[in-house]
Amino acid sequence: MPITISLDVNGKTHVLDIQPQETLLQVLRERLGLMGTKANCEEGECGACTVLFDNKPVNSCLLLAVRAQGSPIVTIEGLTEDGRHAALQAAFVQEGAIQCGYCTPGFLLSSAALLDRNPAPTQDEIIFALSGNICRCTGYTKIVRAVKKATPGVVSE
Amino acid sequence: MKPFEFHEPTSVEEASDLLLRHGKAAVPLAGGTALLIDIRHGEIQPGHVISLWTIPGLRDLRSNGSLHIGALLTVTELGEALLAPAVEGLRESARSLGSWQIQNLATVGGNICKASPGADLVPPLLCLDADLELQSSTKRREVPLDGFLVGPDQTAIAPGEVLTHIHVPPPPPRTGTAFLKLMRRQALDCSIVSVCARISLDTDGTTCTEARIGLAAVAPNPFRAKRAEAALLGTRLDGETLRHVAALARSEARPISDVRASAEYRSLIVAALVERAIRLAAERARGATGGK
Repeated sequence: MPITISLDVNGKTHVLDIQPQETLLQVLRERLGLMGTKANCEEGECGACTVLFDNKPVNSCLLLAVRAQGSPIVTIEGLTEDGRHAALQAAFVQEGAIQCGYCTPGFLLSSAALLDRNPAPTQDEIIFALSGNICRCTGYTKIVRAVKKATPGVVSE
Repeated sequence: MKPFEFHEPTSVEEASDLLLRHGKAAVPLAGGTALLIDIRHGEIQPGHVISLWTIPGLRDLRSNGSLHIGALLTVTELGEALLAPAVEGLRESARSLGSWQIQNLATVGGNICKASPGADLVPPLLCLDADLELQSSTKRREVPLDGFLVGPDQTAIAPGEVLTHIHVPPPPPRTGTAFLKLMRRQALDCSIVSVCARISLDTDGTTCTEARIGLAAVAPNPFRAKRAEAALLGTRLDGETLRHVAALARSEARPISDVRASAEYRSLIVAALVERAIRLAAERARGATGGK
């Protein structure tokens, strides 16, 4: 039986009729056309579907859309529009932290959530924050370097 | 995922009635990080998912000597709230569970009620003598966590009951806990073995007055190695005692071989981690001496 939900995605309210078993990931991609959020392992292992839910990174494949009501949701499209993390995104490009690009939206959202909480993270804190995201190109060193470069407390060369 | 009906009760009584009415066709939804995977893989096919998120009062955390943990507190929220040496092992287990993304969704109550062999929060909660508050539409009861898990994916919860709170009594002064977990990689993996130790020390700061050892991923459920615990009492935790205790804990474990490790390897690791966890917990207990 379809249900009507209201989602706050990237600052806009969307009222949608969905099936209760639809995940936030499905709704973002298939109903809202936000393809930056990737569907991959669908068991919370890879982090490609990471979005911010109430400013915290979560696996959108493990969150029912109906349960995602009432808190702001930010996808990679929202992070880009917002512009607040432009330096972080630029650092990913400059450091070559993007290879095939598939995992990049998830890595950027986890990194943005980290920097929002902790503007001067240590190496260990960066690695913890990114441990739920997998890069099968194995570009981890460059990704960690990019986050460091975007750290407001650190002067980049 | 197979279709199901979604319910959003606004009280424990209403949730309990829904669970009773739909019986085996109903499952409660907490964090969903395990439940959604089980549904997607067809391991369970619920006709009714009962969300607990619309019930007020299940996400609180109160500390008044005792710790009262709402069942829907997320693992992140739990980890961020724990600061004392006596609960450091619980904080470490919260921090090691899954990944940041998982910790932001998964709940304390869900980790307990999923009853996984490797449930990360359970060894420290066993070591802290946690009690569970279970509520149905007709009654409320408290049971010890020790004994609540009765097999993989199986608990002693009665039909219609909801786990609402986890209560941790105040630990004695000069108490420390430590949690150690071996994984194939340092995140997003089930443990090969995990161990929590709690040590409480006498006023002399060296004699062990109370001990708990919780083991996970080496039996159908996490459990307390009670013979090993007993062998620590009254000792000064010298090297010989610790080796003996580690061997006892190893003999109490019933590991299996699976994709992550062989039974033999797990058994060896139990002994190594038990010894290390006791040393670390004792060190923290000594550090706690001044404050309490």
